[in-house]
Amino acid sequence: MADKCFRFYKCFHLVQATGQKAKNLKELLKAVAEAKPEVIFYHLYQAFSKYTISVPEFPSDFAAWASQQLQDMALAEKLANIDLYSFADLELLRSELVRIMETHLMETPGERAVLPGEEFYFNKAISLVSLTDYQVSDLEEFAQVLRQIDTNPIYYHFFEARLRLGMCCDDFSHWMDTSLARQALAQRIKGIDPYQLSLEEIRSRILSGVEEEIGTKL
Amino acid sequence: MELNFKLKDYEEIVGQEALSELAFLGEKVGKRRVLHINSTREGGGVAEILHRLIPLLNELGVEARWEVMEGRTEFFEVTKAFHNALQGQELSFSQDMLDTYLITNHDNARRIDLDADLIMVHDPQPAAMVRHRDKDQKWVWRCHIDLSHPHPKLWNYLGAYISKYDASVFHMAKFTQKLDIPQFVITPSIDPLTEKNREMSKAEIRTICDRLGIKRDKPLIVQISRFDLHKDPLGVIKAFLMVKRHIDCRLVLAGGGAVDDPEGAEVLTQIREAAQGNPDIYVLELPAGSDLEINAIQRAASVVVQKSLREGFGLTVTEAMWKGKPVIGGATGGIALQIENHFNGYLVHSLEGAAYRLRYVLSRPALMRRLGRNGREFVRRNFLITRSVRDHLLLALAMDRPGESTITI
Repeated sequence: MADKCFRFYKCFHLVQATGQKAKNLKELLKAVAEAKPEVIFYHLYQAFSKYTISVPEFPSDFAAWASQQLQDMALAEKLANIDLYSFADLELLRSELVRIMETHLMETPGERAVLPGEEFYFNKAISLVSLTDYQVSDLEEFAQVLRQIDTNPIYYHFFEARLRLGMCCDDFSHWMDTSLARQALAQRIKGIDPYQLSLEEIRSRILSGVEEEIGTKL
Repeated sequence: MELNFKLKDYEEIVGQEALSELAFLGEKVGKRRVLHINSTREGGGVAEILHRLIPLLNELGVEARWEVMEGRTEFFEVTKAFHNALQGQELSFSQDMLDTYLITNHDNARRIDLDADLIMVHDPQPAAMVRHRDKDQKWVWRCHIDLSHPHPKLWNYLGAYISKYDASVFHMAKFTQKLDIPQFVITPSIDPLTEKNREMSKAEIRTICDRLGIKRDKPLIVQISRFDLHKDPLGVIKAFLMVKRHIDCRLVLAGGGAVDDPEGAEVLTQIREAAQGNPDIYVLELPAGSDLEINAIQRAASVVVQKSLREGFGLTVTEAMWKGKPVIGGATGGIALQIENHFNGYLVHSLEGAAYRLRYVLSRPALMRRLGRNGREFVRRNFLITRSVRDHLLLALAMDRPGESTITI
């Protein structure tokens, strides 16, 4: 975004099956190592668009499958606890997934496999993106719009942005940092933990930060 | 029953924003001519979906129409055999059967007006009509069955036609098959305005439960399903008896499928034997069309169970969540896609697991309320018919830009 304005977009997903599946950890590891970035992204992030008011125990699809189908809680915990902020891009995140799975395979010999039909199925999503009518140029306007918009643009700018900007950054903090020179606020928003909060809770956290910033800076 | 719901009827349920999104997407799809073809006008899930989908798409400005293929009895016998074989049953098919299949498809392709921009063909019966496609059209095969373990020889034959489509659509990724064309996933949905899912007053629930003889003086555990061993009704009774040692409660097992299915009748006999002499177990054989009764029983439940050993998508889980009930379900098929532990219910892997989770949930009223609330919101967001309409609009748009993962509209 070259100018000072922030334009709100929304996105819609059409899920596409890749045809690939894994019945045990070895197969999951191999598939994760070879999958296209959008497949990894789908299973780590796009699940979030399903939840508005609260999030489940393991929002990462990999961790949820390890827990519920593979019934390997230690693996589920390790996969769920990945710190998404530590990785600048999806390839580094993929490497971490692979490292965790490889280490777990070495530490826990004996192969667990799921029953037919309970395999991990790899998907990706086609994103259909459109501009909304909302455009803002300062924090007051931003807060006003954020209070009233649906959760869809929040998902798009907070999660989907990471495919474009790198894993550490969302559109909101990027705009506050580069267009408004509000580095502290940007850092605060970057620090919101996407794995523990629903979209409504993320809205609320961002709003708190912005409102405090408006109160202290103006 | 013909239902003529308008989009505005859903506003109170899904919100104005969701309807605005549909209007926006409908505008983007524009006056595209979309033709759906299936093999029956009445009966079955596909017809039920199309009865609702087509009017809503038209209301959004899409020129959608629906044609039904015609065929003689022998054609439908062949396609019934195909249907079973594609889901894994043994089949020895003859050249005569293939000829019947192809000739009927050919005749229908000549009879039906195929002048449309996007043609969606449902299930295997009309699948070979794609031979008559125009190269400027988009053809999509919408598969409503589990294709994960098809009869190899039959799939080899039918797959040659499927590969002539531009894309395919399945209910779940696990139902897909190796194909050279894109395979999209559009999960099933429920309609919140139908008799099975509409809101009911407490008085109405009470009246129906009274009529069915269901007492509501104790917590009610409910499983709604066909009388089929894959739904593990006997396991549910055993789990209930384990729970009953700790919590005074009742169990309702309600469903159909015993009238025209000898296996169902046998299962029902076994269930009745297992429940015999226990006044807290109700076994209710409901006739087809008992949607209002199912609605009332689900709403009367404290907890809903769907302890299937094998399952398709499991729309009874969706229905129960929509009614704000915590759901305890077998970790199989689409149930595992809908239930998240501690979020909207519990996935279980054994009857002991079912018993334990029932005790766990029934002992925690606040947890029950939270699970129920989360489940309803999860369904509102992901499994209502408005989402299905949205996915069909997205599919139409995505077909314009094959191979692209981000599309600006």
